Amino acid sequence: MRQIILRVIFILSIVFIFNGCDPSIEIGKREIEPDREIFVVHGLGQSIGYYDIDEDLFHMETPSGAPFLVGSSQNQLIIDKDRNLLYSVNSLDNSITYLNLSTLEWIEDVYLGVGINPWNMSINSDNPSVAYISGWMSNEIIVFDLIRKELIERITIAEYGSHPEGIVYYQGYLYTTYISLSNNTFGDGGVLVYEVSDEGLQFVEDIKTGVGSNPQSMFVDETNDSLHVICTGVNDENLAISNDGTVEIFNISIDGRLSHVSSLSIGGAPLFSPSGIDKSNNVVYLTNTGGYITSYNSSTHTVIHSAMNPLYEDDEVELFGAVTFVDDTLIISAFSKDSLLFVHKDGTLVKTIDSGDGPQFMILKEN
Amino acid sequence: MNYPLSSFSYSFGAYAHYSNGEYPYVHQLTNNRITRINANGVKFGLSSSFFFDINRVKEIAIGGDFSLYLDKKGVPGAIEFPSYYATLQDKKLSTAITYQYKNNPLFSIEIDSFFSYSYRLWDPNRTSSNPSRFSVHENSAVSCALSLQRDDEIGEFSSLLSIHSSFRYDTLHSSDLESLNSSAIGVSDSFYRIHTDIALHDTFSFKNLSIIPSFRVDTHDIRNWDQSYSSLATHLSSNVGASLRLYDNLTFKLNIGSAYRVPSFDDMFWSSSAFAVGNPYLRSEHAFSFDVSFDYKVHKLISISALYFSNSIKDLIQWIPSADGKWSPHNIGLVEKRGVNGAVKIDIPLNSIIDTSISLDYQYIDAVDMGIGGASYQKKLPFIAPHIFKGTFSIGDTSQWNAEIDISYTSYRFITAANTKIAPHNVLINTSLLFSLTTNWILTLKINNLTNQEYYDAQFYPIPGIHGNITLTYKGEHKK
Repeated sequence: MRQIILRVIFILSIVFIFNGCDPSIEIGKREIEPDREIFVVHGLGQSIGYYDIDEDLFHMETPSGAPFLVGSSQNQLIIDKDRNLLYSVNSLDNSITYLNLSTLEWIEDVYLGVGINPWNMSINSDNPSVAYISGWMSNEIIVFDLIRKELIERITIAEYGSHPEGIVYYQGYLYTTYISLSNNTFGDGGVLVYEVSDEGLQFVEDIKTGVGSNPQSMFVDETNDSLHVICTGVNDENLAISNDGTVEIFNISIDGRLSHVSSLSIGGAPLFSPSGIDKSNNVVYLTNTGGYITSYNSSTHTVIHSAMNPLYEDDEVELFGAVTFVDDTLIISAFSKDSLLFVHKDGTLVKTIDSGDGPQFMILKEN
Repeated sequence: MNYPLSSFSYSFGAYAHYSNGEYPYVHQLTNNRITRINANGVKFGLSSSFFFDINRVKEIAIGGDFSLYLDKKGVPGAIEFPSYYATLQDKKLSTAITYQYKNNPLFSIEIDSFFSYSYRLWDPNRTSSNPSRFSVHENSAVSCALSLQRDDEIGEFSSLLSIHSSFRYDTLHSSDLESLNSSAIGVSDSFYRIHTDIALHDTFSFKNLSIIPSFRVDTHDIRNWDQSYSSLATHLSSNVGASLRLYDNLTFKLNIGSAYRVPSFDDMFWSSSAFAVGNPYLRSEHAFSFDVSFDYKVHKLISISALYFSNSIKDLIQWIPSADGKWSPHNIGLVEKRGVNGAVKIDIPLNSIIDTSISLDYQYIDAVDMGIGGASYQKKLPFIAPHIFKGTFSIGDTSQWNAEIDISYTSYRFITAANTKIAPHNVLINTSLLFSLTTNWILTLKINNLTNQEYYDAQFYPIPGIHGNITLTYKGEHKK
């Protein structure tokens, strides 16, 4: 009986040896930085990969298998060349990941706080130590110090609407969209304008984009000081249900205020990608829930490819995460296929390459 | 009417459980110390059972049970997402009645009937004054099953034939499901499911060898009330098992067969929220499985068992985050799952009154995604711990009290399909004490996570530390 008990104790001891057996995940660090590359968010892998444009190679990890880790449900990557940093906005983790831009080595995850769900971030180009973050769940604009890695100010948008998303800083003004989601229905969305001063953010105006408009994303066309707000609408993959996408274009040259210029009925459920612009020809390419590409001319304000005659579509894909335009080619992230699609600007599929798990947001970097 | 040797036994029980919802934890990413609030949990339950032995000669009996469960807790979500002030309430009621007539000359008969109802109320923000913010999710189920068994012997051959058939009707009503036509619109909808099955298996025995073939046919019909959605499926599964008894204390078993699992109502129609959503287009899982095991009674006080299994599962249903961050179930094309399970039990009587026992259980699972074409090909399935170990020590007398302490070790598990991140291992100690206050009254105390370990579930969601519950049961018996 004593032997039995001793054997049992021995076995139990083995159990506690298991305490030291968690595998360690090596932090990825690359040796070579390409001159031209596209960073790709792997939404399901909680990591990023990069496509070396000149070498035509996709890297989802280092040669030794170490991933380039970021947080969970990453919405956006932002390149900060001044500090040689790459930021990942992680909505589910309520955090911002800092990566070394050259090596993609993980530096730190900065926790923003309870219940924020950061959606997008924009760096103040006139004061690059400051960034602005849209807090989707907390209904706030957060002023964030990128160097001290702490929140400076939190401004609620509750009196205007809810669920801020797109956010852009431009020439002393901050613009943010909000979608006013309630009980799974998009309410009266709009754009808020704030003047950025030494005293902080001063409210300027609230411009509505309409009930159900769902203005998720936007960008500033610096060639003519215009703000383009992409309204996704119902946001369903079924075109019969969701074909109400529009682009609202505002002139912002006078005191940063919005002066409505055009409304383009492009249809579908469009979403803007920061690197999805053919700047030479002023063509903006938009991904759509449902897996197709639409486009419009940002100079003439005309629709080129609407949802009814998309430039490219893939029936097997429910969602194109993002599109990047480079060398006359659209590179599209196909979330459900774990791959990048290369489509010529005439709409011809050129090739497909494998990516990491769940590719979504992409951004182009050129040295 | 005279019922020889009849008896009636019954029990009533009640339990209460509380877990503190305000506790500190260390954020896994930043190492900041954060305090979780608004996660208080209260549970309350009632249960009762009865067994009326109508006729012991003919083995006719009726039994039944009833349970009621109420639960309310704060659910701030993974890292306080989606809402700081979300709460969840659950109410469940279930009742079952069984009729047995075992010593019937033709077939032993058992009829089982079952009813259950559950109600879930999701409040995304208890501080809000918006009266229409709630989501309500209700399920009910009614089932009836008939089992017939017949035992025949011819010389050294014997046959134990079992025929089983059942009917089950489930309903779901939810105020906030994703529309079947649009992933962005929430609608109120109701579904029902009718399930019927018939199964046949026989145990053919000759001396120490038994062969057990079995077949089963199931049909499922799911519809919504306005008939705009319907899904009908029929499944056939079969299995062959064998059992060989060597000596009196060593038995080997082998099973080979096919099986399936239909998606549950929650898998398909989980109420859409910022955090999770069901998938009405899920397919059933289909598996081909093989397992071999042995049971060995080393000594009258020591027993050992071990099992090896191998499953090839097509369309495994697993909850994973999707493109917009919501968790939803998806079919994973092909999964290979292998593992072993071992158990040792040692009974150590200390004296004529006090008994002790030690049991050790170990499980190893290797589950790999073998669906070609995805980034998770040949990666380990997330949220499955490869090693689970549990050791239990029990001490008590035969009638009045029993105390138990168990230590469980759950190893790391990957939290992404690409195996880029892990949730670390945890070691938990739980205790329970059962004490008979009188012949009829039994008190049970349980304390879980005795050492107040901080540990995390799949998405670094911290689990509350030490918590416990108390149960009071009344058991009665009348014998004629």
